[in-house]
Amino acid sequence: MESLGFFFNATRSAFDLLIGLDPYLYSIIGVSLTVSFWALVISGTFSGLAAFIISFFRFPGRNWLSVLVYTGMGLPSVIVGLFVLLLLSKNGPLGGFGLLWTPTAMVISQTVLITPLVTGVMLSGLDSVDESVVDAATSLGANWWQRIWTVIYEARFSFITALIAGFGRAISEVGSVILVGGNIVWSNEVSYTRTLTTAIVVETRKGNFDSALALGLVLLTIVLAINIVVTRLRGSGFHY
Amino acid sequence: MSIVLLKDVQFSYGEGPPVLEGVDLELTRGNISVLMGPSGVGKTTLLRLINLLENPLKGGIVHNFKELSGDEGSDPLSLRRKMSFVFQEPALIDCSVGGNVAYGLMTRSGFINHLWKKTKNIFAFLSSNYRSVEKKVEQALARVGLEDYGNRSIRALSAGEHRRVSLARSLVTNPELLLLDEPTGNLDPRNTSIVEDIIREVKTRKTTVFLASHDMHQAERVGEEVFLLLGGEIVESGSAEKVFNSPRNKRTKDFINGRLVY
Repeated sequence: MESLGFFFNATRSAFDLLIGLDPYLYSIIGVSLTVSFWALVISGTFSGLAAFIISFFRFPGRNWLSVLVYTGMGLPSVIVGLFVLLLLSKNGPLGGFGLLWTPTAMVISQTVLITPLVTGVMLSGLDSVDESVVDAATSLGANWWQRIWTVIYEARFSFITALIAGFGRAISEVGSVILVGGNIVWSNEVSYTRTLTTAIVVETRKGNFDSALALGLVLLTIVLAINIVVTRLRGSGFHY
Repeated sequence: MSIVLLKDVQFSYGEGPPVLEGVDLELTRGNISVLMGPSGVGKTTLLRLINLLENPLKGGIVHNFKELSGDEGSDPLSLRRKMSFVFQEPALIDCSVGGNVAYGLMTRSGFINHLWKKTKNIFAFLSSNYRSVEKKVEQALARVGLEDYGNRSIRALSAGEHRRVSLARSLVTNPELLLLDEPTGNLDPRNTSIVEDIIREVKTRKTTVFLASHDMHQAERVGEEVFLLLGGEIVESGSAEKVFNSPRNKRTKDFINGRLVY
């Protein structure tokens, strides 16, 4: 019974935090959403291109490239964080830009992290389009571009799935953002590079389990809300 | 006057065994010709070769289409746009019925919009001939008895309706040559007779029809000219009456009597 009370308290404080328009909480949510959003935009663009090239062109090393993509789907985030950290650190090759411990560094590491996942899901979607539909398009007089466009159209749902999966991975990820972002909060209690996930780590370490849990609920609520919106979009206009 | 001429066409898939071993065939313009033969004998392959979806290993295929200038006469895309191929499986695109039927018209006008109808207000300005596309789609759907189906999703249709949509999709471009692969396979008698009526109606529009079927009765009902494909070759050809009543080849007799062992 005690544990139930614990969850009840966490839910209530999550609700209080959200309703109370707590500036600290909203700045954390802001950083989380902004960083994940830009990582998704960059990765989505790049992945779309990569999946397109791997799926529609035959070139040496193509099979190895797709093996690499599928392997990268399970990339451990700490390794990505470490890699980006070394890249951006003072003595690293990109150290001159002074990007370490900024939101930009977090966007970079998240982009690297989710790109194989987004590319992989898009790729498997494109590759699973039925050969007979391609034949039908060809036979109906489609030229190369029209055929490609038709395949992309047939695979459209996997593109949406890829973006949802990528966003989910980005916003729920903690290992790399804590390494390259530094989990910084300004002295006026406004987050600079602290995200919902890194904030949960901090609260847990301090022993504030109920606020940690509350932040977790906020995170889940955001992911849920985004998925509901996307699913509804898919279900109406797109699902034609 | 032939519309398609095949000379000693040989074909196999990759390193596999030969499927066609020297097919000679001449399709007469304006006829309904039927390609008969047991399953797996290569009827689909022959249709795919004519539609230029496959290239023969040896031999030649000559298409005699009207209104094609010198260069276009050897360009697969231009040749393909003079014919239509109804596959054994309808292979519809996952959009509306109207979008599927409009597809062939849109490939020819250079712009494909899969969300056709639903987004007509947004896209209409991109397709100057939108009105004429819409009209042709409606007429094609009426020809297969699917009036007012334009806005429906293909997911909501039965197998027989899928087949008819796939027919409408092929008829809408008014092809010179219509290729049909087992157009009534798996269909109930009512849908079969609908499809056969459409085939007869197509002929009145000066479209040449070439259909593959393992159903001899169908060949007898609609075919004017019949070809029998066995062992990778055309072993019998001629008018339906001649082939069925006085076949020259012993294997043809066996096939017609249902005694052929292959």
